Amino acid sequence: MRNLLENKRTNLIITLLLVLGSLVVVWVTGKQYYDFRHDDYQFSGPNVTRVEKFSDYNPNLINTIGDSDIFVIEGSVSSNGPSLLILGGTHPNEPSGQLTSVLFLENLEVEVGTVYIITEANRSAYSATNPQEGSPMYYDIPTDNGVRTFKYGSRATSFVDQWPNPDIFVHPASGQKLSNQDTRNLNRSYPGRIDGYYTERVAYAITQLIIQNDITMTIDLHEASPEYMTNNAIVAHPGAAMNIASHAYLYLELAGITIKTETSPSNLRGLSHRELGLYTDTLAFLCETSNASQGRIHGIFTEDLIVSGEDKFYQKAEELGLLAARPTTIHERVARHMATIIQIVDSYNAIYNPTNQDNQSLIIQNMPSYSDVMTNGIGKYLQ
Amino acid sequence: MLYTILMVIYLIILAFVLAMVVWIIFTSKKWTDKIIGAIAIILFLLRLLLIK
Amino acid sequence: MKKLWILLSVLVLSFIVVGCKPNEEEEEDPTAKDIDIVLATTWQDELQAKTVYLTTCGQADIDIIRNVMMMAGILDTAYTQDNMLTAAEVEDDSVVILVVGTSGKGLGAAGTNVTAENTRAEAFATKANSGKIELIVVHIGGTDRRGELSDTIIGSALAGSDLTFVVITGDADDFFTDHASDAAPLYLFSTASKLVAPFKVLFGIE
Repeated sequence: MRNLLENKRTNLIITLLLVLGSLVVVWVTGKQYYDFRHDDYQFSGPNVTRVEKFSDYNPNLINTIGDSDIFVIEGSVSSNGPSLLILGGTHPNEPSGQLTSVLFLENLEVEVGTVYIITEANRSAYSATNPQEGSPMYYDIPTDNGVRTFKYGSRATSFVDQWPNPDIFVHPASGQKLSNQDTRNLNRSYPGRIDGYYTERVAYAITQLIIQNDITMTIDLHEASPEYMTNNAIVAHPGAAMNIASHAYLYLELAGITIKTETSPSNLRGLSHRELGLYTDTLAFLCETSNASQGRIHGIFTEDLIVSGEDKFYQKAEELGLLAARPTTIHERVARHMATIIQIVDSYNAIYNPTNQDNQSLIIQNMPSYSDVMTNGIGKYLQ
Repeated sequence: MLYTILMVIYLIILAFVLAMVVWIIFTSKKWTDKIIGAIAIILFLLRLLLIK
Repeated sequence: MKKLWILLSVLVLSFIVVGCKPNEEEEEDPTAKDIDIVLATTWQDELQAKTVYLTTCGQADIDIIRNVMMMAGILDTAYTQDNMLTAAEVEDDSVVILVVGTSGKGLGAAGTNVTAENTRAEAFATKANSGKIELIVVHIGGTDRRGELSDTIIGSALAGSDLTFVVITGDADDFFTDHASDAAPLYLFSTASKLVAPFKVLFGIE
């Protein structure tokens, strides 16, 4: 074989073939990565009264991938009264967060108050998958109108949009030292900085959205690996938010939905429920459900793992009692998030407007029930 | 501003290293050098074009 | 012929012995626990005329209990809530509702730790055992609020408990059952919302 390379002409031909092979791979994979990054998924809702942009709240995001849409649904009877921000897509590898926000976007009717919905909080994280995970880039949900494809992205901002990053991320507002990875994690970047790293600019925009519109409640939707302790939970800022979460816990329990409540930790900074509760007047919540595709125990990473949550290694782990929460289907995860959001709103109304005075409650409707989604699947309620 | 200067410097270094890899592929008479170099081209080129 | 009679007798006796075996279906399961039972009438209105405090050792789930009490119709003015209450601060002849179970996040948010919480729990138990206060211990967190750290605090509190309410998933290993006695009865509940009824009884609410 080496003799082939001794001959100059043969050597040249072989080298050119190898380089050509590389270029073909660059073309095929590059096109796939390029399309994934530039896929312009358009979300819309029948009751949306206006669409704002992140750049309305941070001009440093204009003409960047981070300029996400903010869908606003104002009350048909009155837009005065309490408001709610549903934050989906903070971590694109936690699909039920986005799917739940899309479910609300495409079904929700607001009678009194205003609801803000974000489906892609960190759009840069939707432009790539986590390196070395071998995860799918898309997953499908069958609907009555055909199969609908959603993107499965990364936990963190893409390096293409934010590089270089410091070895140690010093959270600007608190001075706390966090890991290098957290520089690109939206849920460690709150309240953000107007001209900070890309991820901090996005966090700043969301914080300003809440401050400038005096948003009453903010619910950030997430998932956690089944072995992670904070699971099937509402994490709430201490004080009034925790009181609402506790009220919601009891009523969800009565409805047969087991959930737990956790207080926002004071010794971990940058999280939405910690910082938004501190730097704004919003009642800040974060919800977690159990997602097998996020964990370390699962086998081969397929689209089915994302949607069904079924994995033989997680089954074994569950039998051995090693999991904090059972892995569930995406339908159940979305159903939980949806039921939790609706109950948090009901709990707010019960606590802050027990006598049902006009314009003092957030009145929302037209969402399917928990059992509807569990029985029929999310697809039945998507456009 | 620092962010942009660093990015430019990074891309220049990247382009230089890529050129070196291509030079090695063409001049070396070892199969391992050529194959590893061909794989390295893929990674460096995707990064140079800021696709991945 | 004689051998045949002996054989027949043995067979008949065997059938009689087998036929007299107790019916297995009627045996009671010794591990079955009574849950969601009505609070004994001795506790009726017990807290109505007393000074009542609500606190936690472990900094978990107290907001849920406050909401349970709200669902029971108990006004905020009927009790004093202080998450860091100490035994020294409570009046004699008062009642302390102590919510146990450890939350790492809760401990951090309150700026305390397991050792300090355990010290508080021990002090409440000591004061209860000396007859100066009545101690009602509540645990609703299930297995999530059990474990080495939680159990230390819970054990300290149970040493002085006069009445214990527990959501049954937290007693899977009989930890609370083993601590219960006639002087410190244990009531098990299927869910946290089932505690509304006993709190109504305690506060004398219809």
